[in-house]
Amino acid sequence: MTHALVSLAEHLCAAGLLADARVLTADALNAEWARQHDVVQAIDGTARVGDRDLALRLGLPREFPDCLPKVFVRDSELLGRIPHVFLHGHVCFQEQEGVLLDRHRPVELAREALARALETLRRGLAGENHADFIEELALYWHGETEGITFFDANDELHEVFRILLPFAATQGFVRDRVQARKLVVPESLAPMAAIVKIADLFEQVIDEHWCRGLYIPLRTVPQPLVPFPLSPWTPTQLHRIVRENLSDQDLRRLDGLTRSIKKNTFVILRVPRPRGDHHLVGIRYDNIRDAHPLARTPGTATITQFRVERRDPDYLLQRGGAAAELRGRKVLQVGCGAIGGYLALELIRCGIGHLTLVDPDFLRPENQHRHVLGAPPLVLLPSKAELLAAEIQRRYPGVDAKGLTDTIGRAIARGAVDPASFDLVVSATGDSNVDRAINHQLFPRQRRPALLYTWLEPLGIGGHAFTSPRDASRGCLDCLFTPDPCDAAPVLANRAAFAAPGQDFTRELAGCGNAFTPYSSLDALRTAELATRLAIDVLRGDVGGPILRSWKGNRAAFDAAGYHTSDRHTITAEELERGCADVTAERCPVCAP
Amino acid sequence: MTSLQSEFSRFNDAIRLGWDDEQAILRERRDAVIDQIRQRINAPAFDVFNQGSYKLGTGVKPVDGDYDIDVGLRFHTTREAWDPVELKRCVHAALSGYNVEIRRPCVTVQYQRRGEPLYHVDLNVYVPAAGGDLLYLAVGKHGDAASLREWRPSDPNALAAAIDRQYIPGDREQFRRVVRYLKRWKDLEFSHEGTAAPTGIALTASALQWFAPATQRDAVANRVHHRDLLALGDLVARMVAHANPRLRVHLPVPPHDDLFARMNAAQMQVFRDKLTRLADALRAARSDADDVSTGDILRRHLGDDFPAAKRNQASIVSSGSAG
Repeated sequence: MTHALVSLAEHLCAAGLLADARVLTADALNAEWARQHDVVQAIDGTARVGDRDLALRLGLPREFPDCLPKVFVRDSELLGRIPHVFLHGHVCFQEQEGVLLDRHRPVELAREALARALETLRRGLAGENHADFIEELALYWHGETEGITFFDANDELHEVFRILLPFAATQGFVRDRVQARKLVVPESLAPMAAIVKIADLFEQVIDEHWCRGLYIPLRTVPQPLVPFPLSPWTPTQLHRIVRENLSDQDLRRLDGLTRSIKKNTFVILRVPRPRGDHHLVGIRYDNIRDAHPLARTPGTATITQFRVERRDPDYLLQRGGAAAELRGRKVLQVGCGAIGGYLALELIRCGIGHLTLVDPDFLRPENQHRHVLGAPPLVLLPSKAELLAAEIQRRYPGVDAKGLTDTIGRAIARGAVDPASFDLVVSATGDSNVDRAINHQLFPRQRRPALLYTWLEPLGIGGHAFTSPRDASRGCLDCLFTPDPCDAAPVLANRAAFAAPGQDFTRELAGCGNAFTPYSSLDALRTAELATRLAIDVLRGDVGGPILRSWKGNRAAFDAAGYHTSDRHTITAEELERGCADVTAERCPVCAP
Repeated sequence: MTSLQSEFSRFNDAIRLGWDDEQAILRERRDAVIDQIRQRINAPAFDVFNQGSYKLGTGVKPVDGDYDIDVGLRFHTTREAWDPVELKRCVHAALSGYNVEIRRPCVTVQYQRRGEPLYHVDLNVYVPAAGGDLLYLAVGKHGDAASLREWRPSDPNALAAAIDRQYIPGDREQFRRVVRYLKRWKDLEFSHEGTAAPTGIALTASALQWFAPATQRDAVANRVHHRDLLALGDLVARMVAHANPRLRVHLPVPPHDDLFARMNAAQMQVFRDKLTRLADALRAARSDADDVSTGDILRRHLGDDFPAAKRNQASIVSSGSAG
């Protein structure tokens, strides 16, 4: 292997990337930098970068060539001068994630890695990428992670509070006491918290560690300091980065708020990144004297920089691929069964911020393998809607999910839900009669939400999602149940069905307790995915008119049971998923003029 | 817009003449006639084929109860070996006991037994031409001059083949239905006897010339529905447009004669007027949005077999959906 390494070194020299190359001994590798980067072999040498000769090191980790080699610059003077150079001079020239490596050409791989690292250093020395210090500020920010941010990191400079999270052994940064209480009491102890004495105990925990601080969103992208401090910043540097990047109004507010803060406090700073988005970083001020160190005339304090783990909703949504624009959207979902369970969770994962669930039914043990919640908890009347809402609240803090144990008809009648206050009403009941009743009630309204219905068919044959967007005046669910006026033998049936009309499926349906269909959970999942995508398209305004989208599955079980498919089932899967917009029935009793 | 396709469909069922159900008796009677000919005829052997509206699938039940069956008898001989009227006389002779009459184009058997429908069988006598599908039809009757007795070239199966060629199956059925509607209209509008009425074959040939399928696609259900009201209306409108003043429609197959030629000017005028009234009525029906009044219009022209609009679909069915 050493031989191979010598050959690699020769190759790098021949390529003009490295001079005076020599292979490191095993002793030299017995050091902190090698352990931290899991480097098991290395080559030292020098490289010409710009007008400087830099001492470099190429390290090969244990997994090489299934991972990138490491490049280090052995010149402590460069630390903080140029971006992408970290502890031990490690040069971050390429994210490991998302790259494909040519594992059969390790020499080429090492050569190209070194070339890229040299280019990163060249850009750094030339000052071309100095803005990257701010772009990746959180990486360069000094200090350890001291807690988790839960408050909404919005555009407003406001007070925030630090609490102890006793069960997580860390601190939390919260908007107010209500949020603090939710976080301090873990879900498993929530029922006990109702007992007065235990509640008091939790209040004491909050009080003991309660600390007032400030959330300061900077307005402008700061200029990176030269040299950029990788060690702790000076009080003046911190004072300047804050005060130079705030509006006059913010500064007045800052001065107002800092006046009342004595002794110990902290700041969570939101720093805009040059290419969009922002970082959150923290500063702790202990033993303040005279004035707050960020006041116009600053006092002194013991200053500690720290990092935070972000759990503020916007950040989490964005990182999870969710659309921040959907956070303000309100969805009413009717039906929390097999499809509805998946659908509700997927809507939330896509970024929907407000979800109201309505279902009169209770979870049943025999449905545990096809319901997203699994087995019902051992409580009296385990309401599907309420349990699903609670699960969403638990998994996705900051999301507003409510569950109503009622039929949609009664819930509307008694004023428990007002459909007009929602952007979208989704029905996943799979009960055509409930769906049609919703359609009949809501479609003709002047100002109505967008409507979406989803259902599946028996034995894995397929599933459907149909929507009437908000401004569609024609094309409603009842159109699907209205026979074509030219149909010589009209029957009561859903025109979208893959099953030919006139067959009895009562025993085969996933929704029926008598028969277990081995595909039902997967079918429900696939249908929920189809419906969620359509729901998101509708909420984003990407759907111009009513549209029906369907997926069709393997028909083997359907055929084996002796059932027949409709003409619609002959349409290609691609066309079905693309959707059919020509849905309006001329004589629809609901939407025809 | 209304289509009343369901009603047209039921109308078609009501007027359609087939070999099934109540028409089975007619088939038996036809077979009895042919059996008797086979047993008693003093002439060469023959084989039998259906022709006319039975063959074309465009038959309608007669309004006066006189069913009409067209049968072709292809004798295994040549036109040189037999005089056409002589061969027809042999057929006539074999049918002693029946009410038989030799007419110029055929030998007609009238029949009615108590409790059974009145019907007549037109027996068309052919001999094959040398090679190909062409036949010679025996034309002439007793007492005709020699010049009127002839073996006329004919291709009785060509029209059915032409219909099959021209339309795909679904459209072909619509063609047949529309021809049936026209024939029923004709039976109601014209006295059964005489040359005043257009013949069924003339209407069928008109349709072959001017009928265009009228359909509507249901994109959701992925089905094509036929719109008979539209197809019938368009056909009749085109026939009216071409009747200036005479409607001329040549048989698209040998012998290619004008099928309306036998109507004189006055008869043609009557036909044209009636056809124009039908076209107007169908246009009115098309633009009427109300099923009941549209049904009334159609019933006035197509007769009482055109049913009143009603929905007879089941109101409780298996939905086939779940959530």
